[in-house]
Amino acid sequence: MSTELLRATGLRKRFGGVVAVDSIDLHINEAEFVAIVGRSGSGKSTLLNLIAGLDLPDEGEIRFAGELLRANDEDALADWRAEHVGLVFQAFHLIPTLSALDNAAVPLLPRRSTEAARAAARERLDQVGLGNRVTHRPAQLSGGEQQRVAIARALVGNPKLLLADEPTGNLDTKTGKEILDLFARLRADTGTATVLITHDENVAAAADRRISIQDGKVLAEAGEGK
Amino acid sequence: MKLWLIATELARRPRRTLTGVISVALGVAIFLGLQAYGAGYRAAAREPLSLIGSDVVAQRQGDRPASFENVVFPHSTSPVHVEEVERVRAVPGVEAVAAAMFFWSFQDEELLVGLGIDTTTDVGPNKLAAGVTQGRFLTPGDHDVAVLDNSYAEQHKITLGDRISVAGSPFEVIGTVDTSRAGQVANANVYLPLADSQRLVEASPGVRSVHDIRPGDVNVLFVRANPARGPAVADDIKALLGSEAIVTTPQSFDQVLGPSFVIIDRFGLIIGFVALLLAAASLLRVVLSTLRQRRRDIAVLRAVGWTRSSLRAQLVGESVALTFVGLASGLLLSLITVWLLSQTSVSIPIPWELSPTPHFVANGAKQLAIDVPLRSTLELLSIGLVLAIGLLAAVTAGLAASRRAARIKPSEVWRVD
Repeated sequence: MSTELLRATGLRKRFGGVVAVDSIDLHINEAEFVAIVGRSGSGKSTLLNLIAGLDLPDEGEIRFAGELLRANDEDALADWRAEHVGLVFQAFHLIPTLSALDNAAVPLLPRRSTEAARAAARERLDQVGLGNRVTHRPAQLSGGEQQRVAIARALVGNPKLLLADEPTGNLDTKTGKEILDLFARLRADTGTATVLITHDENVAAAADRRISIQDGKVLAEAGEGK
Repeated sequence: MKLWLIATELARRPRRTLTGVISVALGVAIFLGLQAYGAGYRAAAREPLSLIGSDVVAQRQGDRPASFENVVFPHSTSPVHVEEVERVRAVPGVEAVAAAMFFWSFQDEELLVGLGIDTTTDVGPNKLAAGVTQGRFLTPGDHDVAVLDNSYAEQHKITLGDRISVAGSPFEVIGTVDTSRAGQVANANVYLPLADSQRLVEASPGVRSVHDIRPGDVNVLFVRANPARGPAVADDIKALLGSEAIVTTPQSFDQVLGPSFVIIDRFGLIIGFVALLLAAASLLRVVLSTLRQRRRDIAVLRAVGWTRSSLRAQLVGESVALTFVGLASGLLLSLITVWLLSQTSVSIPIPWELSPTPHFVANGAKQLAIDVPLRSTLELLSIGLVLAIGLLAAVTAGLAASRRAARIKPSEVWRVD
């Protein structure tokens, strides 16, 4: 039986007069691959930001491994993300002044020695196939390579939950497929639960479970572990 | 805080870094340069008195001589009686007093400027012993001997062992001396033992007719004082000698150094502080504008788990490192400025009363001056002040940046993007 990793209850978020997320309940099990699908503006990215603690819900709560996330303590949320969550973004969000190795090491730098952080980052870069590009800066890497660095960064702290927001959105089809294959392989290797936000039904098809969102509400949910 | 990360951030944004470094360096160099310039001028102003081993020169304004015949006092002097000298010696802070007798002797249709010297102390004109060019200087127990100024001896073709006449009394020449080494203070043509000069003065009708001259009187006092009590000693001596007292201190020279020194002396500190404040403002602007450029990077750091304290340490570290490089560059610039200043010299005018010459003789009204190298130095206090202000500005700028960074919300940054 799957163990529940994260449970969100009654999440609601509004921006001005617009309700972006409207009373959403969801749960993520350990090592599960969940796709959240919806059109642009459906509220899926806002939902991911709420799950990651990057946005605070107006209503509702999130429990991680049974523990209530302290929504009002930004540093506690930052510590929680550093320890348990990896984030991958559509626009990669790498730091342009740092090498691939240091970009991948960034989450560990405040908590570990430089040597330890770089060693972990090097291991992850090897895992994503960029062991020979560690000294390159983002501008010297292709889009696919940048996204691999971002994935290495997301996994460097051995998170239990990987949140990816349209990770193939800025990539061509072939590279996008390679990245999805990489996600699948890494999940198999590490057992990290993965939540993938996408508007692409084909991308979502690979997930264990699919949650469709429209106008900030869950429209449908399908797949194993429902 | 990772030093390499700080160095990487500064190195990869060279324009901003350079702007910050140059701003801080210029502020520091202007502040320290002005302080060094002022200190150099102040040190130069002390040179005339320090050359003659004194901190204070005291005399009392007298009356004009009834006639310029035989021995007279310059009207910048009048007798200082023995008991007054003793009272001066007793002033708190006075370490040594050298009494001297300055006089003009009009003889054979020419002027001879004489100075009687107390040879029992190393204060005052006895410093001239270091400037002897031939023979020897006066020593305790000497009488009826004289030491001549080099140029006077050359002009009158007088050599060692010759006998000269001063107010009709014969003196054997035992040495010649380069008087320019005494800072042009109490310049004389002939230097005599104090007792001999007192004898000449007491016998002179020209002095007796104008002054209450008593045995043992002198008319110039060279005083060495405890540096901590220098100004107070000057005030006390002025009070002792009365309203006609002329008391010269190093500060007296400040007033004759001209408007540029007055401006630097009075406003140098203010101008320096303004330069430092502008540098600090520029540093703040550079740090905050760099932060604006890095909003997305800061958002990433927040998203991947950097806490506010981690960010604060990084941003304050960057600000301090930037300031440190600026301070070091500024210090280097200041050292170069000080070296350049030390290649120049300043002309220090000597007040007439310290080397009085009748205006009616050739060059009598000429302003005496000495050229002193501008020995500018970086004062430790100024450097410490600059370091403290720099560190304060760096930490303030870093904290201001980290306060703003703490308000950056990744989700908002990405929504805007």
